Amino acid sequence: MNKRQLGLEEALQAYYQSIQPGETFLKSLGKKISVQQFPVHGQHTSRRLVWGWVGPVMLVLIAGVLIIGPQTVWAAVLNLTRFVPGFGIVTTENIYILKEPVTYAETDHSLTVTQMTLDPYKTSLIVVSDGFTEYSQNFFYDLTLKVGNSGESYYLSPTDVWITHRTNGSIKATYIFPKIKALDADITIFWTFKHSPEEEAFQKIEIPVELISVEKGNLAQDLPSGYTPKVNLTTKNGVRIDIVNQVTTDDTTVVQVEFIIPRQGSRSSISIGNVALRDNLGHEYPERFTTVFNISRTLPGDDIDLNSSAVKEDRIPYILEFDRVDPSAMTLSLTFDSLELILFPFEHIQVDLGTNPKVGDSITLNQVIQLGWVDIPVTSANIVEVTSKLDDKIPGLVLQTGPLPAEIEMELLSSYWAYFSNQLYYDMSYKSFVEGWPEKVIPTGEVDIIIDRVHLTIQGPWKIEWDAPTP
Amino acid sequence: MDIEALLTNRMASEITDDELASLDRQPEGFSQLYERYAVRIFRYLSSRLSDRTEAEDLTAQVFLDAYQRLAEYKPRNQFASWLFTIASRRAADYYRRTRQNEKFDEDVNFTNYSDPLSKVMTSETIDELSDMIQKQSLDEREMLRLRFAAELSFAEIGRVTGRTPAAVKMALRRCLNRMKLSWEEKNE
Repeated sequence: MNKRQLGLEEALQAYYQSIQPGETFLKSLGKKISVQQFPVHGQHTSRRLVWGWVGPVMLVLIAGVLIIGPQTVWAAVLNLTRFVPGFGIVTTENIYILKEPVTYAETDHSLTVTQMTLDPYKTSLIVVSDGFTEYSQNFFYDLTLKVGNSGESYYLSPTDVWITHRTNGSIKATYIFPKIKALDADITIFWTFKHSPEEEAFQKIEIPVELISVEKGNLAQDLPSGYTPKVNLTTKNGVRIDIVNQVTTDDTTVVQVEFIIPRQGSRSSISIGNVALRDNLGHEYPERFTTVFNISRTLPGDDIDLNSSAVKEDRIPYILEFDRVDPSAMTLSLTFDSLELILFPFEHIQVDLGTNPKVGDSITLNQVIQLGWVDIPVTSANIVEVTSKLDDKIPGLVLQTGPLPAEIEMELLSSYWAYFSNQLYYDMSYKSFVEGWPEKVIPTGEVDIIIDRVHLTIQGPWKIEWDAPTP
Repeated sequence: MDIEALLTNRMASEITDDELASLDRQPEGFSQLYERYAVRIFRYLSSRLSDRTEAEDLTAQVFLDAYQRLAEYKPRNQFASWLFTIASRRAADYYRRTRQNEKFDEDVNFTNYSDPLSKVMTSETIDELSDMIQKQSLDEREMLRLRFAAELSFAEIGRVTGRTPAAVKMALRRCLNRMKLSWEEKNE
């Protein structure tokens, strides 16, 4: 073949298609997919069983409660799992947890890694920060894990992030990352941020962490039998809260709660605001840690049919850990002031930007995004000026929502334009994530915006009371 | 339904992506989808990133994402668009994470690791082609990648990029016409 006589399209085809992945890489990834290293649970995997070990454990619990009673099931589940202080219940196989909390501290701000777990399917991390500016808090979403040494490291971005503002001013951030490939690799929490928009350079914090097997030391405790209260449900603003179990050890009271929300189009995650455990004697027990599991789904009522697709509710389990309750207390109550949900609605919104779009344009929409049981009116799309990460003024687009119910706050965490060159920015003036165009060229005509991730805050309070177990 | 049932009286290649996706994470079904798309996803990511190892990592992450989000996929004969949208998001996340601006990041010059290419083009021609691609806008480069590396149709590119198929076709045509002038000039 004459090397100079290819047509342009042939040349482009040859150019782009000349790159091939390595056979070893292809085979290795293919094997992970086909055999066992993706979270697959056998031949008859249902979509409700995809949450690693959480699905089986919760389903065993739920199905078992109906058949043989709660206490027996709880004990059976605990035989398969152990309780990790500060994190909750984990399976004992191939689980690694933080050896000890690690803190990075400056005079006016600090960051503490309070817990981290690593299982065959995912990596979870809880970080508590104090004293960071409001601006710098926006960068919490950018925290990554650096895995490996400097020569051969790679970075993992979180797949889920929950940010919770605590009453004492600190912020708790919970992250779910993909699994870490090599267990013997060095793991460092890697975070870059700015205290203010005026700062030119990014600050960098690196916190090395050490993980150990869950079975080493006294980190994982066996729990005594649990107690399931009889009256155990409260409902408000479309969210039901159920006390599934209460377990008390020598120094800790663990309460397993389920948040039950109408089914979403896709998975959802929940985070709680401030929580208080009180008894009838007037004691309030400080919350030590909370643990979030990923979602599990159950059918309404007693109709447990794993093959049915008629799922109506999402049940999101949580483990709350408190100081040990007074054994003489007769009743206990839990109060939650707010719930934060991260939903993945994948709703599309069509916006016609017209032939000559410019900053200042407002395109009337009057569309409604349905987030489960909450209708969010989207009234307009506005072309605005935003500041890029290079501190450049560029055009971007924000969606304007209409009035929401008083108890609902919404923040659009991520949308995408299905348009390539746009990038996501958090803009302080709009208090919102904005899609901006670094090339400063606004697309024309109709664009399809996909609402990818929404942060919904629902105000309570929810209060649930139950009889304490008799000693 | 399992893959054996789908294969009754049919070749594996006759099973649609949507049918495989509807198997809902059964390993055999997802493996088939992987086999269909792994190379194209890798090529697309490699052409967008400057690091082959990163492209491999992101390829794995794209399939993990797809696997975890399979329940969200609505079967409308759009699996390729859906998968490449995930890949596009992953690549964008990569730039956000590493705080690089894609604008300043050169597309990969494949000559660094491509032997097959040298069999059909001289190194000088490859460099010229690479230069021409770099001169296109970000959006046009993305369309070139989706067309020639990912081998998507105009309709599929439209779904990934939020344009109508006609708009994609027109934009690509304009870009290729412009490149063609330069290409023919250099090849005269």
